[in-house]
Amino acid sequence: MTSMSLGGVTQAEKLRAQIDLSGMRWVTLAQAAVILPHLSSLPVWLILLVTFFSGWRWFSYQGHVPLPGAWLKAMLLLGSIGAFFFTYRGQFSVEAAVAFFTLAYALKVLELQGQRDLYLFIFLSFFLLAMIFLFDQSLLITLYVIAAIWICLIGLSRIANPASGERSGYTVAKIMLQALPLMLIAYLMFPRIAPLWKVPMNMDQARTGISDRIKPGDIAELAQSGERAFRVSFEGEVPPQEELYWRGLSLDSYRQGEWRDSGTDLLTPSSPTEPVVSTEVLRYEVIQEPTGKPWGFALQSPLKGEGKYRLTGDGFVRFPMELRQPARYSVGMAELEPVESLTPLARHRYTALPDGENPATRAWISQLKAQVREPEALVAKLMNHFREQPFFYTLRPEKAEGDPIDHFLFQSRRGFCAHYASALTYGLRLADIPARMIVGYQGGEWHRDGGYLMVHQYDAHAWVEVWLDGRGWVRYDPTAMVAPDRISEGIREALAQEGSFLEREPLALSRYGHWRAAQWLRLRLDQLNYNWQRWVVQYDGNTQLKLFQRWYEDLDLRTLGLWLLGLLLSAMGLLLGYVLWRERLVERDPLKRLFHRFEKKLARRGLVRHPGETPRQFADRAGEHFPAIADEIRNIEAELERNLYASGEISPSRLSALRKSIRGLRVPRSRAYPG
Amino acid sequence: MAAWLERRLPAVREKTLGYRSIFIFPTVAGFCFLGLLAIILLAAINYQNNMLYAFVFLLGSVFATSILHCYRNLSGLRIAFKQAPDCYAGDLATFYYSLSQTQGNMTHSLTLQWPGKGPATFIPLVTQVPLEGRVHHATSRRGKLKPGRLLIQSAYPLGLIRAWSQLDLEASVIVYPKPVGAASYQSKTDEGEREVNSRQLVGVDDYQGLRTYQQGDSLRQIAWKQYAQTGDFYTKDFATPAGDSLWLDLRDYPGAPEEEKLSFLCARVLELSRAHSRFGLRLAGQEIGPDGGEAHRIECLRALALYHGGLAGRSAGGRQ
Repeated sequence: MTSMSLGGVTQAEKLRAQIDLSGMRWVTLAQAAVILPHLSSLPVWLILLVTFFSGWRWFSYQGHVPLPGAWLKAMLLLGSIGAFFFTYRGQFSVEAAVAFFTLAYALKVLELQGQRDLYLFIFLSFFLLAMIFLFDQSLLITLYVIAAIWICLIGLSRIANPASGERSGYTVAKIMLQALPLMLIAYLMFPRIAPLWKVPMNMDQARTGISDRIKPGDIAELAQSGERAFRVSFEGEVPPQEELYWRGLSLDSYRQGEWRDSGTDLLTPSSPTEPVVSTEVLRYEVIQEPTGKPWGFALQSPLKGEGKYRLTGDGFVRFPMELRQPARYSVGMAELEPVESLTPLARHRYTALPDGENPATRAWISQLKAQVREPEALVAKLMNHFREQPFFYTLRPEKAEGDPIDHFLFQSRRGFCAHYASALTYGLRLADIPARMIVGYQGGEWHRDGGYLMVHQYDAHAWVEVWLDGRGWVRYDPTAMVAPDRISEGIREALAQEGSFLEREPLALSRYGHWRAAQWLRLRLDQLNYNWQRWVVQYDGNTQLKLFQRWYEDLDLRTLGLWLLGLLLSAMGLLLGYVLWRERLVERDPLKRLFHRFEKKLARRGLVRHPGETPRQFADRAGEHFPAIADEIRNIEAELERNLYASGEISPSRLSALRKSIRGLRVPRSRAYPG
Repeated sequence: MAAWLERRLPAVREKTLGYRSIFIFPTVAGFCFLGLLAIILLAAINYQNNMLYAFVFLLGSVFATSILHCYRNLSGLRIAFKQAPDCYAGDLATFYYSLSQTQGNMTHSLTLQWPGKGPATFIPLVTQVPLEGRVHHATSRRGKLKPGRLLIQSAYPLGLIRAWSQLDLEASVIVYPKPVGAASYQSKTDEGEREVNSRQLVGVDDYQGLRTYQQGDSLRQIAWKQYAQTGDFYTKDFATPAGDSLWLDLRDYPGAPEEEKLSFLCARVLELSRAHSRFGLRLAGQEIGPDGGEAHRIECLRALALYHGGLAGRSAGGRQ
């Protein structure tokens, strides 16, 4: 115990010799600033560990408690590494990496002794700080990170300049501001090249968004979230609200009360061998928040535009990888979709249902089928059923018991959009009419000032597409039968009576849409974020080239890189030149400058003024050195000295006369000693 | 390198640092910082993450900007060698410099040092008002020590970049031989020598009082009782009757190595001066007549230091 406390005391003393109290405060603050944004992705034990170690470090710095000795430290190290492996069990994800570095960071806190440790600590801080951007690149986080960089740099400056009593905060802020132009140039011009190698992007953090397996209750869950799904800006006439069906996934397989995406493109209508030339009637650009899933959203009849995605035969947007960063893509809308026939295989797929479930529904459908022959009429009949019967649109549906479709149709009659879509698809399939459930979003909120549409998670929706021979896939939305407001106005209005809209997010501004100020604030913030996303976060190779091709058409990324290099070098050169130039001008007294010139002229011929030699002594020596011009030298020196020590400014005429005589001084090349 | 420095920055007694005399290079921490930025840049490319790009470019620009700040910090610093009091071989010689800033800014976190030759001197702040900076240099041999180029450096503001200059400000210090009591010699010398020694100890009986301990005082004369009481060293002071002048001679110690002889003489000079004796010093080819007082003491010590040109000039831990 004694050896431990002894070790601790010396360590604390060592650290105190390296960094003063205010410096230690900044370093501790830097640590807090770096850990804070990672809290949501870190396990609780690690957060506690970090806090505990920092506190320990702080109190030991103050001299209240000793630091752990070698044994205890080894135990802590082993214990926390064990806990880390137990928590993550060898899975490699970005979160695990962050947790690992945080652990190293926390342990390093106890190790802080010398200057090198402190430097390493600050560098680790920078690294963890940068990792925040893997999770979030929003404007708010960016501002936060800039502030945190400021704090870390102050820590760095306190480590480098202990006890200087300097206003580091001010100096660091000045340096950061001065660094801004250089940073902007580099940011705009650094070529956005393709990834050098594939990086693991596993993120455990659950993201809200639409899934490819849906039980009817799931969408109701999603509708409790006020998070943004994507934003759209249109070129051309904006379709009416009722037409804004953002298709994401087709759920074509039903099993155990759950609709799934079978994930195959094979069952779609055979793609036409020749590309169909269709006129584009509309183009829109989507900026989608990361979902961790590979699907995007588009209106019906999409045409491929810009962006890294492909369109499936069914007209769904698919990314090559799961979306970990916000994505920006543009989609066109075709005037007409070519109609093909459904292959027998596809027809089988879209009418398949497991046998024997939901007997009441089966009985009801076969009864209807006997009455109505035409598929279209049958669909209309089912849709009308939802409108005429006392169905109720709610975010709080009852939990299904037994056969879910039977329970919904004949018992509870309360449901959210997915309940209706699910029941309708199920019913149509029973009647041998090909049908699939489509999930995505419906509608959106129009941002008047920003000129774009905001689509939120609560706009999530499910509807049905039915194959009608000769017409192709036709959209039917049973929810519109039950709650017409949902489609025309949005979910807030549709649930106004129930009051269940965003009931779990009391802080969401969207919830207070009826309050003017809240609405105004929310729209401003959203516009700011949208512009940030659109112009800064989404600044990619294409945008970059487009920007610079305005000035220089045949630009490629390589040339751009060379430009950047040239620009940076010349900027550095200019700055350096400026500093040196300023220094040369330090001597502002014209007489002193003349004297320097006079000195230089003689120095060039080998006569250098000794340090400490007065001008008079120097002139005398020069006279002996160059007897031929001895008189001239003495005259110039006398004139210089007279004016140097005279009060008041020298008259311009005298100055120019003096300058002339110095210029006219011809110093002989060879040293001519008298005698 | 040394010759190039000699040409570029010739020895002067006073120097104002400018672009010709300031060198700049990243520190080890600076290189680590750049390495860190390279790693984050790789992540930015691989994750196609624009904010990571911005992060790297901001810190990279801060790095570049700090080069200028680091340069500006040293630029305009005027440094002049003032003086260095004589010392004994084995002591840390102290050199006094005058420092001031000639431009509008201030110089922060300045370190002055002869690397490997003495501890670094840290000066937190230099302003327009001249201040005195003391730099230490270890000494090992007597003679005139020219410590050579003084390293003036600062890693202000962020510790990532180091600006430095190496100036020869014509500093020098006279290093006396290390005073060694003749007792160590007596054991191996004959009786005649001892007689010579005992003769100077005549005055020992004439106790005059106490004075504070000085470097070179004999341990035998330390007032141990007073030390035990006060914790400070006092030397018992003895007076030798004036007029009884002695001659110290290099030849008093035959057989001992020359440097040892000088050390013995040094101790004797101190001893005798302390006792207010009159004494003369005879070195080969040099004679200082009997005298007393502070000036005489210094003259003798310097003669000892510089005897045969002094060793320090050839190599005294300064310019080897």
